Amino acid sequence: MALSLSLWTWLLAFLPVLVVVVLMLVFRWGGSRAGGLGWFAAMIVAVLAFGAGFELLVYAQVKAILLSLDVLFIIWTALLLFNIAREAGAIRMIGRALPAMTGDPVMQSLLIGWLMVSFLQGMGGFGVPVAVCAPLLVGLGYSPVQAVAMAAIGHGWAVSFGSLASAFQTLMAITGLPGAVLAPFAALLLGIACIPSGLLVALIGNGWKGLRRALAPVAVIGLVMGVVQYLLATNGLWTLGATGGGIAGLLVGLLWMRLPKYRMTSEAQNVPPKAAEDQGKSLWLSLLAYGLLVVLAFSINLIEPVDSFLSQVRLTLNFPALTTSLGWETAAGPGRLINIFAHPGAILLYTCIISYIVYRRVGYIQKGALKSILGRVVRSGVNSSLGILAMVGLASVMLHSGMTYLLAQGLSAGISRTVYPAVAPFIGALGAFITGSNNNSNVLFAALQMNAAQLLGLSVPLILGAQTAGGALGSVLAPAKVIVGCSTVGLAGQEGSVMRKLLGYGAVTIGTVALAALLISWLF
Amino acid sequence: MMETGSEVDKMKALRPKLRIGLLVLQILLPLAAYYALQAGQVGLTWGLAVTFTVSMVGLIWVG
Repeated sequence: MALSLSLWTWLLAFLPVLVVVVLMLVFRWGGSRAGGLGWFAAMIVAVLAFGAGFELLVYAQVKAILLSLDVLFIIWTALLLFNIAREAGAIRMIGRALPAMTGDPVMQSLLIGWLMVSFLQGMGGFGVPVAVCAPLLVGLGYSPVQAVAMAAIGHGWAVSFGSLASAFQTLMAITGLPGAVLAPFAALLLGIACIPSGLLVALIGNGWKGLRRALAPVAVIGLVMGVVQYLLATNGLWTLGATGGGIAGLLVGLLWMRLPKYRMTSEAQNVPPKAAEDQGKSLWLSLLAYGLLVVLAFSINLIEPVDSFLSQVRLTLNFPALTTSLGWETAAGPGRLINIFAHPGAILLYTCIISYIVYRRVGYIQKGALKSILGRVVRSGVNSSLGILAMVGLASVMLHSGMTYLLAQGLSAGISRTVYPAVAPFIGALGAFITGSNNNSNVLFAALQMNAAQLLGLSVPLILGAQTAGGALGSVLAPAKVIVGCSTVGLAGQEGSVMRKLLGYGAVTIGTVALAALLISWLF
Repeated sequence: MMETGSEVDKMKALRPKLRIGLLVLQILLPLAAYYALQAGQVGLTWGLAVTFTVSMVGLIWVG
């Protein structure tokens, strides 16, 4: 052990996290700036109090870069795919087609505020589901506050395995545990959260009467989405977990609307008109990018010879054993291994290239559009990348200097073994609320939660599942995401009222996961 | 006042480019430091580490 546990040493170890929390919540700094200052705090505490030397800090930072590259490969290519599909009109056309299929306001709210946001989270994420669907909900007659709250709460369950599972990829990278070990509990807890997410969307949009009407469809569709996500995630296809769940949910939802009780005549005035640039376009062809992604991801992951062929080039760096002057040791070994050509990011890139060529040939994307697509990708990608680099750097320094272990030791000493599984999702949610992303929450707290679980003798995959599920549900409440949603429905400057509404609903979804984790911990 | 406004505009236009530059630096500098350290070039590693630290200050400034 590096430092003995006391309130003073625990507070010192907590200081970098506290700096990030205060800067983001009180001073409303962005993730990259707050992460940068948090990184300085971590470096100073690591050197002065935890005995970290120059070599340890350099290697910790290099490991952080490898971890970051693994995640950034997915983030950048997912952003590229989303912007190519958007340029081809796919998002506008889905938004127009879905509400035209039913006149039942409860089913409309579920279709857009629960199913479509979940599907978009699977494919894109990064605030896109709320940004795209909140205006559609306003178009259906909901107030802007309701629209942002519905779109935010509706997709929380899909965040960890959404964005091509970048947050889950981070969980694996930080803990060093394989996806096969981590996926079952994470997918189970997120699947459980899917049901209250749908019910809350119905409640926010249509009141208690709407909630009662939504009980049957939410139970059936939620079960289907949760099971599909679970099966994909636990069979090595976690990158498609939320996407597959979202697609299955949309299909079952469309079938459900054929039922006489839920069909109802569509009100023409509720259906937004087709945009001028989408005239003559086919919905199915505009969705080619996503269909192709599903085919490529399944093919590369499931066809062994293809996977073996593409997995021949792997990048990593080897690191020596590292020790602080106080005796905290990190074993020698390789850093994060990046499987360049079979990486989820590579699969996304192949999809981007083929989709772009097809869209150009059929005239869905105009000549010269590539520049504006790339411009949008760079604008979104650079900011989030800088934030991730800073946060991962901070977490790596904390991990290698023994600060994370000390934090975990303090938590395990202060919280009893019986209660900890119910607390773990709230820790994940806090991290996501602070940093604005499930991904960053896993970077900050996954190692801490793993250490706490080991010290308390709890199931590590369960606690890490609770961490990422809490992070997913907490990320949709984060000021950074709420600001994006509010800006799309004319609520800029009124984020506080949306956040107050969201926090109560978020407590329900996170509380459900906490209760589930507690019950499961009695069994495992 | 006009000059101040123009400077603010210039700064606003410059920020995205600065962020891209910082992103490239923050990825490449630690990797370069790794190879420098592996080659026993401690002085060079220190130089790269100091530059990285300065880039982190730049990140806080640029936001």
